[in-house]
Amino acid sequence: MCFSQFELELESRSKFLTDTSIRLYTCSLFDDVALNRIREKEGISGKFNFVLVSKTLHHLRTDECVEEHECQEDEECCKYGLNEEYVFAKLLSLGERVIIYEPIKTDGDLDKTRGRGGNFTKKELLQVFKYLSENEKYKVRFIRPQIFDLDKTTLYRVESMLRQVDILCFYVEKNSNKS
Amino acid sequence: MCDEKDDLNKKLTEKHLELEEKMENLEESLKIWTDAITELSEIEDAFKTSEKPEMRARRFWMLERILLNRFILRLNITQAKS
Ligand SMILES: [Zn+2]
Ligand SMILES: [Zn+2]
Ligand SMILES: [Zn+2]
Ligand SMILES: [Zn+2]
Repeated sequence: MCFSQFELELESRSKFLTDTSIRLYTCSLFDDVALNRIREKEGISGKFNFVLVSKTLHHLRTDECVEEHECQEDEECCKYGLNEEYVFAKLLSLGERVIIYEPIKTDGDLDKTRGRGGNFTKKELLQVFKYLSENEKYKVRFIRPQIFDLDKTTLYRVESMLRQVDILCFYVEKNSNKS
Repeated sequence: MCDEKDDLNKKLTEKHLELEEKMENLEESLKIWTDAITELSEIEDAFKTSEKPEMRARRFWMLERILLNRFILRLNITQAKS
């Protein structure tokens, strides 16, 4: 299977989408130089309408362990943090609406690499929503399991919701009403 | 002469392994992708906007395991007009 065959197969299997074309790139989200090169090559100016982060938010962790322990060589038990401000600023610079589809930690994460990766625990996710609800620069709406807007007055709903499901979907936009 | 041949063989074997690994990664990515695309129907509401359908966004990025595989996937969508 050569690379273009791979792309073809992807296209033909994307049945949910009509008239789809797909490009695959190898690049870190945080590598601006490489990212800009891709944008140039594809003639992308301005933002995308949507950025879908599918089961990947937990891979956008920092590279510093937040556990209170002595880190082992293999970082097996390590857990890196998440810089919400930085990550959402970056994602919102790519698209108008950032859709997050994210599992909640149950039995671990198969693609955990060292302290990076590892699905978020309920506690970690609650922290993310606390951050988002306290900042008026974001407009946040939950899609799954229930549709409602997140703000300071609805934050209380999140904790019980996190207990009931193993996957979440919400989106984040820049709040145009407030600055 | 024989050493040259050994060298060549060694290089080819290395290259083969390298390509095989690359292909495995691609196949894995394909699986992740198709899974994710299947799941898109579950989160359709996230793509709803107040704009008219034909004005609706056509493009999005899909980010997958970026820090792990350093992989970025871009998906260009043209919505069918209804
Ligand atoms: Zn550690
Ligand atoms: Zn993962
Ligand atoms: Zn020899
Ligand atoms: Zn082989």
